[in-house]
Amino acid sequence: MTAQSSNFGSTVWQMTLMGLRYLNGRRLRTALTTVAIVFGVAMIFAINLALPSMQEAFQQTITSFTGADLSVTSVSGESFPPAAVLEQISSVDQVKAVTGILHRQFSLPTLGESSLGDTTQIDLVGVDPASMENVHQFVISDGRFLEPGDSGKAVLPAGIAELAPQLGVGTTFPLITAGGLKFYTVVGLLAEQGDLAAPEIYVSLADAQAAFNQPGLINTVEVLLEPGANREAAAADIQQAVGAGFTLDQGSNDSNTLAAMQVGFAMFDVLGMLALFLGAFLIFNTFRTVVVERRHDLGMLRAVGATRRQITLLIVIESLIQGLIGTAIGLLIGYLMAQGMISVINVYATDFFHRGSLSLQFSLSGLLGAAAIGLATALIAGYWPARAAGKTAPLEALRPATPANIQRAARWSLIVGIGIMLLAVLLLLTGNQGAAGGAVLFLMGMVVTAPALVIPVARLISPLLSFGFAREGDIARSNLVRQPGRAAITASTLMIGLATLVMIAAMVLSFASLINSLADVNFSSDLILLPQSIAVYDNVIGADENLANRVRALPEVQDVGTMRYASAATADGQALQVMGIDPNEYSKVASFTVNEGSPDAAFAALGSGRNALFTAIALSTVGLKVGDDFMLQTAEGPQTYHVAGIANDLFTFKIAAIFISQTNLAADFHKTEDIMLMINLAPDADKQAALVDIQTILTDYPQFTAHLTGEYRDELANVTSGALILMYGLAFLILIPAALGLLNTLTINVLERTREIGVVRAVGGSRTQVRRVVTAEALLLGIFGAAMGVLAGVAMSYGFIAAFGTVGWEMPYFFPVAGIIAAVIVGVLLALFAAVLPARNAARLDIIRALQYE
Amino acid sequence: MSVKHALLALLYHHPQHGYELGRQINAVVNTEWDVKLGQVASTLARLKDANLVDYEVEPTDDAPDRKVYFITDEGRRELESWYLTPEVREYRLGDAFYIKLVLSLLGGPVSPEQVLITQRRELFQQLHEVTELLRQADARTQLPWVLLLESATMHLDADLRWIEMCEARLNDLKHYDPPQPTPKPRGRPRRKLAQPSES
Amino acid sequence: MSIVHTESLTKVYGDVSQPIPAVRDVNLTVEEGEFLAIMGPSGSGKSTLLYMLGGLDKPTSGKVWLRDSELSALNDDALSRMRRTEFGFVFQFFNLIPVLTAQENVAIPLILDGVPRARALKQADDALARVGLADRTMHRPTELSGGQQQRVALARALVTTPAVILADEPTGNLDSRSSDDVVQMLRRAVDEWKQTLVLVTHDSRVAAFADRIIFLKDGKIVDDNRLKGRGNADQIREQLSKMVLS
Repeated sequence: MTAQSSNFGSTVWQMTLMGLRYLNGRRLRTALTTVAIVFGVAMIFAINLALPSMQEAFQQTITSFTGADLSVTSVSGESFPPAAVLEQISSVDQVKAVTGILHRQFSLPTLGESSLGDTTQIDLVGVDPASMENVHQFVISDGRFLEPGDSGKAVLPAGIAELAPQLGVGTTFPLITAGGLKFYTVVGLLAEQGDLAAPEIYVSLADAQAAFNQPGLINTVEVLLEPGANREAAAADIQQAVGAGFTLDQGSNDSNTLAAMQVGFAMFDVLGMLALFLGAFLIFNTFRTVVVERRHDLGMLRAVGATRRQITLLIVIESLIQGLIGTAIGLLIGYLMAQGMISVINVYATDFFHRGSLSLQFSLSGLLGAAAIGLATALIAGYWPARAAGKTAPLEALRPATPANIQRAARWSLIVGIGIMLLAVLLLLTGNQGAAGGAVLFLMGMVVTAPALVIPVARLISPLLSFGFAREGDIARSNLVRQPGRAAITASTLMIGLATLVMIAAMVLSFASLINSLADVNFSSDLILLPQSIAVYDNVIGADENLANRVRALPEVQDVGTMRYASAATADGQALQVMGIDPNEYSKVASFTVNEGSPDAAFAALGSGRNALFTAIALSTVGLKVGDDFMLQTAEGPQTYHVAGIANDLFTFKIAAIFISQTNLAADFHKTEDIMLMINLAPDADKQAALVDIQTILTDYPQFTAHLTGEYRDELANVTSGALILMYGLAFLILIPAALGLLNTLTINVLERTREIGVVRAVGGSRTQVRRVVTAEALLLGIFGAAMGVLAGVAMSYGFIAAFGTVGWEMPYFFPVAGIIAAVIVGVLLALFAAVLPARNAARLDIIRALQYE
Repeated sequence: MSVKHALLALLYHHPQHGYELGRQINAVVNTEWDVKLGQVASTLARLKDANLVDYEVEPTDDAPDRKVYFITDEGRRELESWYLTPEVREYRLGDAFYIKLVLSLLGGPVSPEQVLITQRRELFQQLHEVTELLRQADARTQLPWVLLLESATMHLDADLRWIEMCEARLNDLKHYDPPQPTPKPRGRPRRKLAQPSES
Repeated sequence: MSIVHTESLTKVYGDVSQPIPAVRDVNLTVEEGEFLAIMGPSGSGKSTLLYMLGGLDKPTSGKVWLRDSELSALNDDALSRMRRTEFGFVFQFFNLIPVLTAQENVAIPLILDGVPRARALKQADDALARVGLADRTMHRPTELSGGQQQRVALARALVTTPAVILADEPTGNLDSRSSDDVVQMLRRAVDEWKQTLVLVTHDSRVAAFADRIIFLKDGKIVDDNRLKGRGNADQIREQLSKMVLS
């Protein structure tokens, strides 16, 4: 048994060596074939690395920091009154001491001089010094820890010296709070270094409650157990005592934000998969050629006794080697890409997410997953040619080269392909979630049909060529239809690339239109005051009513509408972002897009009872429909809300969010901070003067920036179009493997016809004519691929936009005329570009050597 | 083959007497080629008459005096012009087998195919044997012999190829109408190709 | 003792409506240790016959036995095993794998048979030494002359000590001198290494090395000619002398 396996190993090892050398002998082709795998694996790996890293980083901020044994938070992540909870936990056996704290991590405004030096975000921790002492003893290196009755005093970790060296015991620094800027005096420095990304600043509980405008509330209970206590048992008892509204050692995991990111990243994943699809095509195409090219060697191996299986194994090993190389390089590039993404995000992190610096977390499962996908692609793509190779007759080794047989496209491919496409069209027309599947199915149908289309399409297109290639067009056409399979695969690779381009063009149009219509509802006011971040509200310090009141008091101001925020969860733990508005005020300065009825009716619904408006995404995530009642985990325990309707705006359309009235938000979530203010001015007011007045008020609230709504909207539009241009960039990236596919096929065609080209040259064909034949062939392929790509692209864009509609992003569908024109032009240009090298090689062939070529 | 030129070629290098020449001619040209001493002596005499060689008498004690031959200037010129004259092979057309084959085409107890096969067997037998000798020969020490054997294989090969050609032509030959001697009113009969129309 | 024999071996190409017979009803017995040459004009079916003897081509009818095994009764795997253990092939166009060294090319049948690589390579070295290429083991085919390549191919055929070596025009692509080297080597394989050899050639001088020549015409054996050593070397010598002296 062991002998058998070692023998098998010997054969496999030899085949691996052979495969490596064959590949080495055709380095260019190997490189070209591998590129698509590299590309796909890199994309998928990068996404799978970057995303969990961000997730990790987001979750990191939640975990306990005081070194207590356990910490308890509310399921929603929101604050709660301490008395009952502290009492419940204290009564649990094995609990030695408890203390309630209120902390929030938030970023400091980047405008103006920073009071904390280089610190970009902090974790403001409000503690009750008396009970804290029982739970955790802080080691002080200078000064003292907080004492009961302290107000306006702060204790900093030692690491702050690196960020703000001027701070020492006795110095003061300002900090943004919901009530405006407030000054704190440093009374002590801790011995521990602290988290430099977000240093913990300890203040009294009362100060923190004031800073967050949450008087009397805490959001975390830290628990110290008896020495030698059974941690698991104690945790279970505590959980039992506090009930389902609370959770131990974990808070909300920012799944809202991540969900928003995941939607964006899913696009990368799709592109990665498309690239691998292309890679599979390339490998398949290449190995089909390899098998033809190497029939002598394969036949010889058969003649000296290789079995069919061994030959199949040989080719499979070779394609696996390519897969391995491509995957390895892809993983490397993917890792670098992930690094790049993280560092790009880090650049924006301070401006946009306010989360401090993320670091790349290496994920073995991400690596293995991406590697497995890459290898599987190579394996599957290589298997069919390998099987064909296994069928090589030993006599092949002895026959002189015969011109490649003209393949006949199987009729079944036409029938099956058209069948698949019809099914796809049906799916597309249903217009629901199946539409995306229909789009993919359509693509597959095109691929299946392609071989049968080569001959008629070539006949159809070649008259077009007769303008520029009067004499060569026919030869090119007959060359092409000799290997319809190869032509079809090449055109299919091009099709996938161009279809992506068309699809992205269509989606960009639709997205732009969607965002535009959403922006209309958000940016109808004259001025807007925005917090540090408009994507993640957890770590935003808003303002108490004073700000809104001061603004309202300005003579130019007519209406002020505010937005408030809380986090919540459904009964089954699905996180929701809760936006609080005052329906009367808010309707004057902004609006929603509603799927049914009018915005007015929606506002009216919020005016009474526990009614909620859902974003379409939220509704589909939690699986409810309009009119349902549902349970929401609030800071006040579970509350029953009613789904009053669907409403979207620009800030929430990508996330699972609900709108409720500010009255309910205050009652159920204890949140009264305004995180966004929209202002309408009196009809004759001077906008610039009003802006200056408001900016004066904002010196007390540096966490806000004031914008003229119109300007901000333009700015946002620029950012958006920048992101959309990035999408075009991706579409072009995916065209690279498609171009390589073309190049590959043309090169192979030229190689295969070396002798024919020699004959043509010998009987008087000029170099130019030879070159033009190859170019004409490339053009035929390019036009064929472009035609298929346009069809598939239209189907795909329609399908995906329909699918997006069902998850809540109802977008108008725009026929991507510009995208189609671009795709055709790009297809033709790619073909011409890909033809340059093979055409030159063909033209430069030495006649004598070409004639002797076997 | 010219023994005369062989002797001139050997004397070209240095003077020798007749007996040495007789032994050397066998050694140099071909170990198997047994040239008789008498033939050497008579050829030397003829060369002397033609003034192509000359000799000096070398006295010896216990034997008759020996003649030591050397080449004359005229002899050198003769040798040179011999080297520079290409040898024209005589075509062995119409040898015995040719006659046999052609006659067998007329019909008879044995078919032309069989005649060809029989001849081919013999030629292959000979080729086999020559090849065997060639395998045993050492080109480094027996180069002239190897060259000779290779010449023989080539000739046998040529004969075999001709037989192959004949076999391939057998169909044509079967339709071949042998020429009939046509009676002529006057003069001697002359060979003439038969006209198909006359048959 | 016979090692290969055929019974009414027939191969017909083309379809039923237009059959093109390549080998017709051939009954042939190859003796162990014999050097058999198959000759015939092109299209006489000599290569087809050779391929059928080696299990490379399937007969339309009739049978081929290698010792007790009837080849057409074997499935593809068994036939493949037979090819790598019982037959050694030498072809006109050398047919070496270009990406492998001489040594690896020779070792291929062993490796395919599951012999551990190190041992296979060692045996390959021995076989290469036998054909006089001990100093060329690490060369790629392209770095070798035609004659050397063919000797590598011969070593590949020898390395498994097959029951029969089948050579198809092994000198067809070589100049006279290299051709001579290769045939000498084939002859030695029979004489010294006790191999059985069947060779297809159209070159009389190559066939003359054989012990037996069969002639094929239109797919049929038209002559079976055993060349006997008549021991008349002296007679040849004399004739050759005459040739020179004539």
